[in-house]
Amino acid sequence: MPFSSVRSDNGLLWAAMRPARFARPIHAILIALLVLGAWGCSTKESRILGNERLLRGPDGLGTTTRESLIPDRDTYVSPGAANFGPTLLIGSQGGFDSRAFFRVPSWAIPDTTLPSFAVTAIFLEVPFDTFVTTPLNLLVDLATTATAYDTLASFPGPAPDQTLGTVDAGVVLPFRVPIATSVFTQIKGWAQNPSSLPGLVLYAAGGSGITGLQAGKAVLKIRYDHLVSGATVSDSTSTAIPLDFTLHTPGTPAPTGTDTTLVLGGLYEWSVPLHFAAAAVASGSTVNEATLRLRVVPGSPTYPTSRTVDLEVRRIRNAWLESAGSVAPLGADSTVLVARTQLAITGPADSVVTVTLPQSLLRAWTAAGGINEGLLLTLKNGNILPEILLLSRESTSPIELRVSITTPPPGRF
Amino acid sequence: MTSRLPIALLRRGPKRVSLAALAALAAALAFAALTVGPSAALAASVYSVGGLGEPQLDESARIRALGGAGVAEFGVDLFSQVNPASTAGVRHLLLQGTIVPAYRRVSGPGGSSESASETEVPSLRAVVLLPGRFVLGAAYAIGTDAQFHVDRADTAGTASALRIEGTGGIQFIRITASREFGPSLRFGIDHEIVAGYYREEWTRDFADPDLATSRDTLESRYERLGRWRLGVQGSVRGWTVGGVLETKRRLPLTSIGRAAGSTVEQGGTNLIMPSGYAVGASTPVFSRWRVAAQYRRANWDRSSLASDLVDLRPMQRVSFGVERLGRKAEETGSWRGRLPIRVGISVLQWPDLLPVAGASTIAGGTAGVKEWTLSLGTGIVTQDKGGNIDFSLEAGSRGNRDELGVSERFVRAAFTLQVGDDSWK
Repeated sequence: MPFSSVRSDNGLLWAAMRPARFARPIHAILIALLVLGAWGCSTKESRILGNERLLRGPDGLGTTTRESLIPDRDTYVSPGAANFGPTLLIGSQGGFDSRAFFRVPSWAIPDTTLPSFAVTAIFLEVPFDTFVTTPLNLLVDLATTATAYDTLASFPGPAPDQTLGTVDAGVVLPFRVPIATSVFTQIKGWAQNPSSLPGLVLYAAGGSGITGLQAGKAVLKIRYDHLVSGATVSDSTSTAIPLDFTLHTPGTPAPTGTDTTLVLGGLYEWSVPLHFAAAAVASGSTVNEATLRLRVVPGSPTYPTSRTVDLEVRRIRNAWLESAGSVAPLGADSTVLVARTQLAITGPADSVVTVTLPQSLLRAWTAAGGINEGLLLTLKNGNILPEILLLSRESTSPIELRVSITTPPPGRF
Repeated sequence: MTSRLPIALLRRGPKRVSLAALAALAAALAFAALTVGPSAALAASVYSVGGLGEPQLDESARIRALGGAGVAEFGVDLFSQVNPASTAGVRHLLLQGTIVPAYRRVSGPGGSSESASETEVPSLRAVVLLPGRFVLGAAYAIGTDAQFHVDRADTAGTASALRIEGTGGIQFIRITASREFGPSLRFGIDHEIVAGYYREEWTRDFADPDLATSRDTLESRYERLGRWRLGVQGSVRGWTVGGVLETKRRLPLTSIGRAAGSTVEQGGTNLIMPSGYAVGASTPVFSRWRVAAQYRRANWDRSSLASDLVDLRPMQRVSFGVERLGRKAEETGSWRGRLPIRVGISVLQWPDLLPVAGASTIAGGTAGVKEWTLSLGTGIVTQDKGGNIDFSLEAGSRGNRDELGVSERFVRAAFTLQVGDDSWK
C-alpha cells in the first residue's frame, strides 16, 4: 500500500508515513550504529601485527644497558668537628674519648633576700639517653672550662679548669652531678655576668666506658630553704642549659687509602666518601637506574633488635684524595641528596645495602659544567650504634654503582 | 504538498515518530562520537605506524558512497570537501558532521590474522549564505591519521616491555568562500591551514623493579601555515565539471624528544605540503541515474620530507560513483523507492613508500600501499533542504603482505548528519 510524503510543521520530510514501517530503517540505523560503536575497543592487531611495521632504522627502538661502576676513590673519614647530635657521649673506650661541653646563656638565681635564705643543694642534672648502656665505675667530672665555649674546637676542646663535682655515672638515675653549695657564690657572679663563665665540661675522670645523655636537656638546679610565716620552706630554681656539643678523639685507626674495609658510623662517626667515574648520559637518553650497592663485610657488627639508623647520602663538591682526613674539606652538601631510612644490619641477610640515587644525579655529574666529586655516606646519629663495615674497591666485592640507561627512541621520520 | 493521510494521523503519528527517531539518531551519533570514538581512536591502519599515516577521505557519507567523487557535486543542501566551489549553491545555514566506525582485519606473516576497529570523525563543516550571494564556510578535516598503539617485548639490551601510543597526523582547518555566477558557474576558494602534529608516547617497563620506567615523548611539529585551494564548477546541459587546484606550502618541521630530565629539539627540516589538483565530472545518465567521477592528486615526492624511514610519491585517488535518485516527495511509491542508492569505487595510492618487510629503512627497498574501496550508500533527505542523514558502507583492502609483511581488509560505515536552519524553525 503506497503512502505519500507529508510536510510536517517543522518542514521535515520523511520517506514513509506509516509509523510502523517508517520506524524500521531508523531502527536499523540505530542498531547498526550501536553495533558499530561496540567495535571500538580492540586494538589487538596493533599490538601484534603492528609490530611488524614498527620499523625505525638500524639502531632499533632504543636499547637499555646496565653498567656496574666501581669507585675509583673510596675511603672513610671522621668528622673532625663537634657533634651537635641528640646524644652527648661522655667517657672513654679503647682509644676513644669523648667530652660534652655546655654553655649557660642566662641563669635562674633564687632570691637571696628571703628570710633565712640558705642554699641546700646544687647539681647538674641531665636525662640519660636510654639507648646507651652506661657502665658502672665510670667517673664523670663536671668542671668549668679554662677557655671559652667554642663550637669549632677540635678534641680535646677547652680544657677543664675548676672541678665542680664528680659522679659515678652508672649508679645515679637520672644522671646528676652534685656541686658544692659553696659554688653558689660563683654562680651569683656568673648570673650577673654570664660571659664570665667560659663554659662547662663533662668528661671521664676515671673508669672505662661511655655514657650517653640527652642533648639540650641539661638543667642546673639550686635548692634552698627560707622562712615563710615562721616555717622553713624548701624551694628550687632551675637553669636550663640548651647549648651543648660533644667532642671526641680523632678516629683510629686512620684509613690508609688501600684498606679493603670501609668503616661507616660507629663511635667515631665515620663517613665514607666515594667517587665513580660516570660516563656522560647521552642527550635524550633516560636514566632508568642509579643504585648504590654497598656490600657489607661478613662479620660486620649487627644492630640490637629494633634499632635502625638512617643512611644519608650527600654530594661532595670539593676535590679530594683517598688520603682525606676529615669530612669538612670535602665540601659536602648540607642538604641530604637521598636517605635510606631505617637501615639495620642484622646478619648475613643484610649483606648488601642498596640506596636508590636520584636519576638526575648522573646528569648533574656529567652535564657541561657539572661537578662529579662523588658522594659522602654518613649515618645520622649513628654514633650510638655499631659501625657498618663495607667492602672497599680494593676488595674482591667492592661497592658498585649500578647504572641503567636507555637510549632515546628513534624519531618517526 | 498534499497528503492522503488524515490530518489527525499526520499530527499524531508520523510527525512524532520522525522527530523522536531523528533525536534518537542524533543522540546515537553523539554517543558514538563521544564514547566510542576516543577509546577506539588509538589505532588507524596498521601502516600508520610509520610515514604520514592513513590517508582519510574527509567527505560526507553521501560522497563517500560515490567513491569520493565530489569535485563536481553541488546543490542547495549539498557540497563536497574537495571543491570549495561546491558550497556556492547553498542557500541556508548548514551544519554537517560525519563519523566513521571502521573494522579491520589484518593479515600477518605465517597466515596470522587479527581484527580491530576504531572510529574517526573525518570532517565537520558549517556553511552559511551571506548577502551578495556569497557563501562562507569553515571546516575541520583529517588528512592523515597517524594513530597507532603497539605493545611489544623488546630484547635489545635489558629485556623490557615497550608500549608506544601514536597520535596525530595531518589535519586541516579550512575557511571557505564561494559564489555562484549564474546557474552554471561557481567559484570557490579555501584558505587551508595545515594543522596537526605527530606525537608518540613511548613507555618502557622492566621486570626488574630497580629499573624505573622510561617515558619518552616524541613530537614532530610543523608550523601551522595556510595554503590556498581554488575551485571551480561549470554546468552545461546536465553535465557538471569541477576542478580544484591546491598550492604548495613549506612547513618548517621541528622534532622534539623528551625524556626525564632531557629535552632534545631538532629543527632545520621541512614538511612540504605539495601542490595538487582534482578534476571530475558528473552527469545524469537516465531519468533517475547519474554518475560522478573524479581524479585527485597530491604531488608528494622525495623532497617533501627528508627521512630514511619513508619515501613519498604522489598520492592519487580515482573515484567513480553511480547514484539512483530517490523518488520525489510528490510521487507515489513505497518508501524504498524514495531512498537514493549510491554505489562507488575508488582506488587510492598512498603517498607513503614504506620499507619493505624485513628492512629497517628505505635503503632496504620500499613498497607502496594501494587501497581499493567499494562503497554503497543511501540517505534520508529532509524536504526543507535543511538537513539529511546519509549512510555509506565501505569495504576494501590495502597493502601487499608479500611486500610489506602485513595487509589489511576493512569494512567501515560512515554516518553524516546534516542540519540546516530550516530544520528547527
